[in-house]
Amino acid sequence: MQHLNNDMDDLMRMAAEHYPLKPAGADWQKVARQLEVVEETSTASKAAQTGKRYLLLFTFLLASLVCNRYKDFGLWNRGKNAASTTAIPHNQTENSGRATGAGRDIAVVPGSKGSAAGLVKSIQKPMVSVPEAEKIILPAAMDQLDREEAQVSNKQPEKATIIQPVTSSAAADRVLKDPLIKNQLLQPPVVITGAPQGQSMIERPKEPVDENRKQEPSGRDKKMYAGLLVGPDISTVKLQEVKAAGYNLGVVLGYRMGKRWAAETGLYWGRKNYYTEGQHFNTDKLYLPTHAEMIEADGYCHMFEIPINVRYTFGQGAKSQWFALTGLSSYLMQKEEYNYVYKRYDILYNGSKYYKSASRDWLSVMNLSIGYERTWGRGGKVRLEPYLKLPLQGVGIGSLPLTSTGVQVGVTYPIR
Amino acid sequence: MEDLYGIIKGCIGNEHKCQKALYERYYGFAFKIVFRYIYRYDKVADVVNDGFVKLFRSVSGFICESGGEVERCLMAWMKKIMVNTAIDELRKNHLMPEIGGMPEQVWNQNDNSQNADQQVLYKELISHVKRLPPAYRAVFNMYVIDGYTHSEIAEQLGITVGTSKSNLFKAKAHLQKIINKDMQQTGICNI
Repeated sequence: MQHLNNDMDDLMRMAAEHYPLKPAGADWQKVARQLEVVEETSTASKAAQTGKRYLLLFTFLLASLVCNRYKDFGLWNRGKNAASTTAIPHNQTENSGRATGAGRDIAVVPGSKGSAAGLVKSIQKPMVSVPEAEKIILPAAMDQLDREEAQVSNKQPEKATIIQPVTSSAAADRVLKDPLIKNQLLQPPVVITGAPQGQSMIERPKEPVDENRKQEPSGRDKKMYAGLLVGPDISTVKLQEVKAAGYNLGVVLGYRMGKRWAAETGLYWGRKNYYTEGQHFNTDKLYLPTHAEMIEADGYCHMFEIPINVRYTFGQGAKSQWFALTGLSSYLMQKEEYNYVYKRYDILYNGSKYYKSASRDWLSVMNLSIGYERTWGRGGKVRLEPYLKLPLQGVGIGSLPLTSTGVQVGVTYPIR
Repeated sequence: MEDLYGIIKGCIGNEHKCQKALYERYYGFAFKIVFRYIYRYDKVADVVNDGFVKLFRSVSGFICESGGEVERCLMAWMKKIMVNTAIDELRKNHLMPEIGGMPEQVWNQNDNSQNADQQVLYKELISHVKRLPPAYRAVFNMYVIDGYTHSEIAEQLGITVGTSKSNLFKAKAHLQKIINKDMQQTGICNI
């Protein structure tokens, strides 16, 4: 009787080294072909990865160029059309003098659009701070000012509308002489109109609204917004054959974190149609028969998508703006159905499988989009957003690297 | 030896001529390793070819620290790649048992009468190992013949160390039962 012990183990090792087997099936050509495919695949995947990196870099460069183009520093647009600015110098008697000394001051003349415009224009060009309480008339509007000042000195100030009542004239003076106000050439001139005794009124100059002027979104806007979005969807696995378009529809919820930045999330319901060759389909969960090899699969899914995105707004006009959006999405598959072809012992078979709620792919897709938004009605915004969704990992029962593109159209409203 | 150095260097440089030379030189060795793991004879060639593809892709990482024994290093490294490829194939099929016989033509007929009995014994032992269920077969081959530890086996097969030990015990018990049955049938004396 032979027993399996250490001696037996030695015998097994000897048997493994010397047993008489006839190796067959050596095929160098097959191996060489596989090596070529591997090299092409790795080159292609490297190229694809490099391409993706360049695409991302290009997207961000483009976004930064557009931002630089449209970003408003508030320097070159102010006062361009400030035609209705009116102001009266706080001390009319001092106004008759001409510019002396090194500093400059805002000498303003009431009721004269042209002069005010000229003044503001000439104020802006040299960006130097003005020393306190110096009354210097700017050279550009000097002659006209002389005439207008003469008119002003003979005129009684009219009663003005109270905008910001100040309790004492001393306080008004402080406002006038406040170095920040006077020295900041960016600010429009401050008007003091005639006021009851002991009280000064400061009227802020009105600036005309120019629709072409780019505006910063107001901080007083509501911070939260919600809306509905819908659109077609085209999905592909590794840029293979594209099947019929699917769709996306759902709600978006956003929170504004300042003038340009916002965070968005939402819940979408969608259908995606796609096709793949067998090598991209992970059959681990498919439970195909033994020795079966997937050849191709054709399928669709119904799913919930939960995006978490960050949005940057730029190119803002009075009624419209552009935005760029990026983030991650989670796909929660509700239904997947596949018709597939597999090979087993060189015979082709058809199969069909259907799965319910078979996979949850959290943060598995990267979102990229650039959109255009326009005001609609009272506070609403219509939004057009072409998007690209790139897979960070496989999704669904077959772990398919699904790339999707499409356009979402919808409307959002501020809610809070 | 210089020939082998040149071949390995050529493989690192992706020269097809050297790759082909290495393939033809060690195909039989690789085949015998994989044959112990994969039941079906016609499938073994596919697995060996896959193993060589992996080998050529990673040959630039081949290091032999003992300068004079390059061939030994190479064969040990090749063995590891072939075992891993065979295990991957078994795992792809979820370690499902396979059915079918072993055709006689796969065995080399040795005319040397001195070693004939030994060859027959070795052939029988390997045939018995191949008839083990895939999970037992893999553990037995890896532990007893290829020298893996239980923790390495567990990591490779995706099982626990306890399961690996249990499978080995069951494999040995299974083999013992088969061998005893054979002994009773043929009446061969203890060696």
